Amino acid sequence: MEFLGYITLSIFVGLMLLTLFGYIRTPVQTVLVLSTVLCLIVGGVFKYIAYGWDAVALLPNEFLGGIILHPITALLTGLFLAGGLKASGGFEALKELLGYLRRSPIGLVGTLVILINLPVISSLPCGRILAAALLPLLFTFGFEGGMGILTKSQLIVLIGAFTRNSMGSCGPSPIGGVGQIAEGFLGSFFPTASDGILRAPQAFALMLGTAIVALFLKFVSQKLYPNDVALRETPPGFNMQNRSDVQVKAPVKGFIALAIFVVSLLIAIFQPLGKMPVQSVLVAGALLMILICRIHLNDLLEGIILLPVTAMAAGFLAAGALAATGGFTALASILNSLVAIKALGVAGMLAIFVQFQTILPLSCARILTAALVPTLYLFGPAQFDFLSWSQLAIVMAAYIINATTSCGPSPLGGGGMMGEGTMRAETGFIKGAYTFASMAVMAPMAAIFMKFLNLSVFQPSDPRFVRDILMIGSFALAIAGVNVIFIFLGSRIFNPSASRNFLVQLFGFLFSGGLGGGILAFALFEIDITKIFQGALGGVIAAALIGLMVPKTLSKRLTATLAGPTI
Amino acid sequence: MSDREGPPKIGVKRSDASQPLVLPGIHRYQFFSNLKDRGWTLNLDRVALFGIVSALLATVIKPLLRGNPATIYCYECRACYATQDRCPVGISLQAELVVAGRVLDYNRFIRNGGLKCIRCGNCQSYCVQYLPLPKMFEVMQQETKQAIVAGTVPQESLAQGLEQGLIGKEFIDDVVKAVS
Amino acid sequence: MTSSKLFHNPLNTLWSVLRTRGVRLVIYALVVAALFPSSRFILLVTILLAIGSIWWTEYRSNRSHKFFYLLGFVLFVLAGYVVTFVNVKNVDQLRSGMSPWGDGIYQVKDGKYIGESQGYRGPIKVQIKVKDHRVTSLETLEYPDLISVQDNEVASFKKHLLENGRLFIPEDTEMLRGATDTLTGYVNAIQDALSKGIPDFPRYDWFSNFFLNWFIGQSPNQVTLNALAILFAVFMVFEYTFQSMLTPGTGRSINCYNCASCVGVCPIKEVEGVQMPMGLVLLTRLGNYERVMELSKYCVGCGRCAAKCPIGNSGPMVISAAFQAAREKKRSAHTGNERETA
Repeated sequence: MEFLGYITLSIFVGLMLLTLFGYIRTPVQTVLVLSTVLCLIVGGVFKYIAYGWDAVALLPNEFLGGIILHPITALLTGLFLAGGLKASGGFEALKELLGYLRRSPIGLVGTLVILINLPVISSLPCGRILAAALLPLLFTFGFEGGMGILTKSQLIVLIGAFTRNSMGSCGPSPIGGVGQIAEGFLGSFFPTASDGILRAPQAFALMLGTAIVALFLKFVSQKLYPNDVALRETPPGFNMQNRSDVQVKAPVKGFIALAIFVVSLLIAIFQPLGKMPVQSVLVAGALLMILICRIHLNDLLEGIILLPVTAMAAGFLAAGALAATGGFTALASILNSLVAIKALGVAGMLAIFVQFQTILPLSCARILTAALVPTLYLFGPAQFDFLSWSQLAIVMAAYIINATTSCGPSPLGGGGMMGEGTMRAETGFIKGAYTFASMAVMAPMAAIFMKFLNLSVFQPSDPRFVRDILMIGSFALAIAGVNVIFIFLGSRIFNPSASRNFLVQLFGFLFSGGLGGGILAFALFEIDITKIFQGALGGVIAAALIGLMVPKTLSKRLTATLAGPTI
Repeated sequence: MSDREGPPKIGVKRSDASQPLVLPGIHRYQFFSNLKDRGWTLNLDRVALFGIVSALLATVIKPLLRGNPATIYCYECRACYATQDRCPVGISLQAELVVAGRVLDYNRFIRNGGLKCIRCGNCQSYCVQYLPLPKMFEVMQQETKQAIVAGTVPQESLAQGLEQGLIGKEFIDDVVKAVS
Repeated sequence: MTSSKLFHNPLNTLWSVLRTRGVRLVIYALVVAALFPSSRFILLVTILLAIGSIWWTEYRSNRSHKFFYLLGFVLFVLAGYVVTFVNVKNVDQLRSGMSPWGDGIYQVKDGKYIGESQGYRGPIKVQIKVKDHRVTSLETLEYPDLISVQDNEVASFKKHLLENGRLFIPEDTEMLRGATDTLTGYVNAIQDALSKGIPDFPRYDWFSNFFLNWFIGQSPNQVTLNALAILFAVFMVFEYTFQSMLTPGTGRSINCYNCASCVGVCPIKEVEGVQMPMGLVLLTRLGNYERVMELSKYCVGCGRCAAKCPIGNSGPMVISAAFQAAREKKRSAHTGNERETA
């Protein structure tokens, strides 16, 4: 029976890797369904031999148990609400409000910063909801979009940072976010963990990571792939003053719809009217929009973005099939055997485990998270006892932020592709920036934040806030500072040779990965030199896997597809 | 007119519904993407997607029909694991029971000790949404009992449950009868 | 006209009927109403509101009288509701004077009676025997809520009932603690059985029964509303994918990733606020073929998007399928009008 687990696990991982590298060119959902079917067939044969027909007949129910219904339905209802908002002009209302903000003392830069962080502020259950609506707005800041306020390079940075932020915002969301899958596990020790023990570290790490992504896009990506963004530069004689004052006038019902949207989100989050499911609140909000703002049912349907819904469901199916056939047990035992390697140890294994989803980026984070978080839980006091409860919380924070942001760089229809489309870039343009930020900044930062601030908030026996905040500040400065220096220095030694640039970037990845792993080990085991070295080694291994998957050049891909033997 | 007397027709007719209609001034071959990869997945992709959505529909409707609607709203955040010692019969993985109740997975239900639950409601106070956990378990216990009587639950899981003491006194008669 | 079409070409007509979204929505509503009786009232109101709003606009545009038929139906339902309400209230008042609880048992004649009521998971059926104004035996005929008869509240209630020989509210407050639907249902069943033994016990008339069963159903509660919300969401996403499955050639549009890779290479990029060609594919998925037909004149058909698409969709193929669907629809409407005039 153990054997079966290894077979199904290798089927799943193999199919995923083949899809990632483009050998299987079908949508990720099809591959997931294929993997489900294969796993079930193999599992069915094994079970028939071992237990007979009854066990096989129950297999469908077992793998359906993998579906986590709440995030799917919460996301669907959130999409309805967004569709209603779009149809009734709510986003025009938002634009108008942003226009007022731009003329206020905050100015253009402040408005853009607020706009970039808007996804984290609103934290919807999927980043695509806001991204689909606001990316066209961001595009209008450029020359092609009409306003011409920003140059090409600025627009790339803006869109990239915004997309990063929205594709991580599903983590801290309290209405069906990814973080919620893990929060309850910690509730066994921290009594109020379900109120959002992972929310603050994620939001904090995400904001810092967004800044790093902006820098990386500015200094590295644009030099690595100089000809792969089809945006047009603003011509020199372009008079931007006249164009930028174009007024957006939103209809009144847009403002009403925006108010309904905000109010229903608030009700869903804070539950002031007694406990009720999030989905009911959001659907009620959407139906209210139909009644008040005079929109149609079709407009609600228009809001649906099918990919996250189906990718999630298909991923859960695949994960359910793996769980039913013992695939995740096999994975846990593989990870366990990693611990036995002297050079890695627990710290190194965790440093790799935390980066697992960045190494294998799928189109929705929940696909693997739902299966891997229970595995992580077993590392804690529940079974293997590698970690104490607070250490488990730290690893959980680092893992979850890494997982939620993994849909950004995914080439399988991840959210980052929306940004690439908007900035008219080749697929893979943002992958380096996104994976770098997830790996080098977000994971260690979330761990540090969890260790020094959040644990004392949720375990108020030892409140030393001032010292903790100073500590976090210094670590944030250190992590961000070192990485900024890497980015800056790396960009200095770039030259037109693509393979040399790729090597330079890879070294940057390795250094930052090692640093990140070391900091993670420090957050877990404090000052323990061997553990820190083990963590750094694990980080380097993970970084090598990540860095090697960042494409060297992009332009060849499109020409190869257009002129290659495939057509 | 030219249709009747002109050269023999090549390729497809414009009225052929299975072929794409050509927009004015455009060649048909431009529409096709990587045919080599696409050929065998022409229908597979969308059928797979449609299947996923239908499975979703079925998963939602089934618990509603079986009188167990609360299982749909479970976050699966596992906050109920915090019950720990407060559970009088020592069930440690309550969320697993909820999921098992949703999809009618008898095996999982018995394995995690669902049949020894006495519906005291201690775990309910830990639920983030205050879902009626005892009621959900009660419904699933009833379903499992019927399945045991009907003989659809595999003998192995029942025997294992008996061995590990996972069967409550309300069900022990049925289980013993089914196993023997 | 429609009926003659149905007669001549039944399959095709049904197919085209199934391909209109409104009909499918009504079908979904019917399915839900059949499965969940407690949702019928809400669904009826929703459907009436939707049809009412559609026919009201029709009335304002071409003075169609359909709206008034609907109004008549609503008035009939309202009148029926008022009649039922009055009747039910009257009967309930009469009943409270003749309740079989406590000393009311003296009105019950000797004999065997069967009572029915709704428990948590289905109808509960009990049979009681009354002799000399005492309940002498109690038999449970149908009891889907059964978990364990030995040690739950229902069992102790039964014991209590047989000891006293009549229905009493138990003094033992411990028993009311759970106050489950099961217990309430059980007690109601016993009450129903006892009330059958009372000669000329007031009953609802047939009209009220008809109304209660067909138009009002069970009263909607929070559970029903939550279930309806979630069913709405799931049925809508089902409908969303079903639309493109039903129209030939547009099926591939449901695979779209919304990634806008195609927008990047498209020479047109954006037209009338729609991102080309992704926006057109999404409109196709939505089923808005007329809009696609309008906008497809901007497509140059260069095929760059087909080469760029990460999943190998071909934008122009999907768009032209939608174009064809729209054209077919227009043509059939046209020929239909011609036939009507002829």
